Amino acid sequence: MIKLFLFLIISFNFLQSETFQERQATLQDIKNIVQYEESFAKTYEQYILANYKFPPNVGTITTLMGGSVKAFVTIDDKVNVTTLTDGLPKINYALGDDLKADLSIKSLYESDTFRKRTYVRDSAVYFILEDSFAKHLFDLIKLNSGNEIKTCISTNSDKACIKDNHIYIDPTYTSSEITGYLMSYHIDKFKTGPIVVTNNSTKYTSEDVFKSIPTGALIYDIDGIKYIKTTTTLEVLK
Amino acid sequence: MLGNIWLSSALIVTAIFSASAMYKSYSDVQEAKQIQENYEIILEIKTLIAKQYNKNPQDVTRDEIIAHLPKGENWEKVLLLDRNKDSDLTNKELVNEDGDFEISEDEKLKLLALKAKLKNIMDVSTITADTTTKKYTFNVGENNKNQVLNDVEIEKSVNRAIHFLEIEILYSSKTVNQTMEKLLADTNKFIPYEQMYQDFRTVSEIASNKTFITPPELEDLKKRKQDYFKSKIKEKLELNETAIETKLYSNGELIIELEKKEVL
Repeated sequence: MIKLFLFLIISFNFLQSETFQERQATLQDIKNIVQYEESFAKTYEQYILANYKFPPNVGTITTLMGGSVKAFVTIDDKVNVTTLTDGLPKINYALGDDLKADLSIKSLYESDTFRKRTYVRDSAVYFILEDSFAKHLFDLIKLNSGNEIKTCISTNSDKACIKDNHIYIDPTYTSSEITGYLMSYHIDKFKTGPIVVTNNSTKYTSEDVFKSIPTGALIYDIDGIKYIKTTTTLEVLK
Repeated sequence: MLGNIWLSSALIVTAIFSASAMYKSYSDVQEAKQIQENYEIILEIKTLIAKQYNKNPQDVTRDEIIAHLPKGENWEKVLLLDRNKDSDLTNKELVNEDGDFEISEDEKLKLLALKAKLKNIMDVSTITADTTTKKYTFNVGENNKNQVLNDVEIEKSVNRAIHFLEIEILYSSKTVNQTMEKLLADTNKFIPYEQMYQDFRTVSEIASNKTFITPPELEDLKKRKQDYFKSKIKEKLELNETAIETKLYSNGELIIELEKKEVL
């Protein structure tokens, strides 16, 4: 009985002990997971820039990346499959309970050491869009209630649409031609303007979309009056 | 005859003892040299990691070192007190989990070798053994980091905080209060207290050479850093570089929270 007990203790200790190579392999896997998440963030951003829409599901991104996170690690049974929070640049926490229980591993995964555009908070991995146009598109897609920014045609009822490299907000049509809009600008000029806006000045404060125009941007209304965006509203330039 | 046998035996025993003593002495010298070599290797790796990831060398942990070592069991030896076959991290660690060197006060020769190595870098006379563990701990790597690098870290933290505000307030319908609470909470680590090198004393405090030592004083310093961090967020939002930042800047409630002083 005592021998059996001793055998069990020795076996347990043997199974518990982790060799240097095993530790090193686990740490390398943690690094790979973080790198995977960094690549996920980059691919997500590229997807928005190329398609003017959010990826429909996590599989769209993982396919572009050549597989799920499990394909890039040796400890695949201890890693959670990536899930994407709908409409937000946020994926789930990758470490399973076993890995999370090792405080050193948890700390390395959550630290910013290997991270550039991602960070871990509230048990989720947030990723920052670095490209300013991608950020702008993200905001426009949100304005469209998560819908893709499609070509402007009279049957398209979305708030934002695109035509001839120009973004239109709330366009109105006459015989399929755009004859009015709340705002319009070339995609390369989204930061500085010129931005052409409606001549209905009450909209400047009532419509939230005007809050998105960067301070200092040059604005014209459709009658040619020149404005500049201040921190609170649009001011006429005299 | 018996005398000859006795003399031969005595000579053989003496020779064995001498050889063993010489080997021990040789082996001690080797181990002392290895400790110095290990210090050089760990220092190089820490410096490399510190440069690559913009960290303080003394903040580089053992796991981060292991992740950077080439593959192969022999590399474990640079983390150990000796290079014997049966030594491993569980029984002969030299580099502890924090990435510092740890040597028991019994290992006199190794201590001497390490102190000799470090005497030109730090004041080794001030390093004393822990009274409970009886171990000496040596930091590996320079303690100071360029302020420019700290600025990069502060800027990265500000960007992360702004991103968090965007996601929570603009797109997850969380309240400004809820989000600001999370932003300031220690557990969320948004504020890089360690990297904030600026002098947070008032003019009169500088004149009187005030220091922050007691817990209330340290709490006061922490709140000053929080105020500074919030002011940096507001400054960045004021620049209105993106539509999202402009929207955040238009949120009056958020601006009031950012302007609210933690230090009363």
